Amino acid sequence: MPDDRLNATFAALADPTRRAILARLASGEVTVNELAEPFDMTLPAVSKHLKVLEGAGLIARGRDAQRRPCRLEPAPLKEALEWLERYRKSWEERLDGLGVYLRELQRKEKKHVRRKK
Amino acid sequence: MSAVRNDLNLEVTRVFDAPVALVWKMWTRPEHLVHWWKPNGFNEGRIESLDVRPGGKWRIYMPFANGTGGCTAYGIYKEVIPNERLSWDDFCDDENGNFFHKAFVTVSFEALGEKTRVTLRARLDPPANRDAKWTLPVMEQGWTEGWKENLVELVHYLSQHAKEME
Repeated sequence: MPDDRLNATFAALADPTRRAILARLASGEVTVNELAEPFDMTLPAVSKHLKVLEGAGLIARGRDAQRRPCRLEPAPLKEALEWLERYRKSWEERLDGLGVYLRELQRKEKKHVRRKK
Repeated sequence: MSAVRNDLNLEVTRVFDAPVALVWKMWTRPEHLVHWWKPNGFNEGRIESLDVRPGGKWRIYMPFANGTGGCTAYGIYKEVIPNERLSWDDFCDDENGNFFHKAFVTVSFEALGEKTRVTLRARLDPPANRDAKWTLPVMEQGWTEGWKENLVELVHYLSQHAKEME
């Protein structure tokens, strides 16, 4: 369900550790052990975050039972980006429209004033 | 650590070649607003309410240009300081219960001689409410194609936005 996915994506992104994990995975596949190191966290703590990320469809984990390497799944991130940027663009488009409308309005007014003189 | 504020901020600025009183009118009079309140993918809307005063309601039906329906943008004005500042809740949904966004918008007007600088700031609440059916208007799919090439940048970009939640 795309709607639920958007919810889940933002819930997952709301945590700074999970964002850091995603940033780490953006440069390639990593094992859980490798992930735990830079974050100074216990393996169970890292696993908890990974479960949330996996639930949100943001990461996938390999089948190798020993290593269970994690990799980033970009589709939900792109959806979240699209949602954000769509809103920003809707304002930029409206403000551009306002500029065009203001120019027309003032041109008409000038013509009107000239005719009156 | 500060508490997680589930929101995202954006800012858009434009300088218009028009005096501030005229620009203010564009935002507060329905006969003007209707002409430019039209993002790509929408036809001209129908203003159902534009009660520009603190606590006043606004409501605009925005039809999709592709004819598949439309959505309603609505909210309540918070601050109304003529020629200076206007702020309001900005919600958007459709008749099928799809929720497009929930935001708080503040627009500042600044006279620069005969020109006017408009700064729009929006705080967007990400879809955290599981009861609501959040979705994207699907008229413009594919315009983020450019990001597909660079995952590292994508994560950093989203993280920059997400940092503002803290």
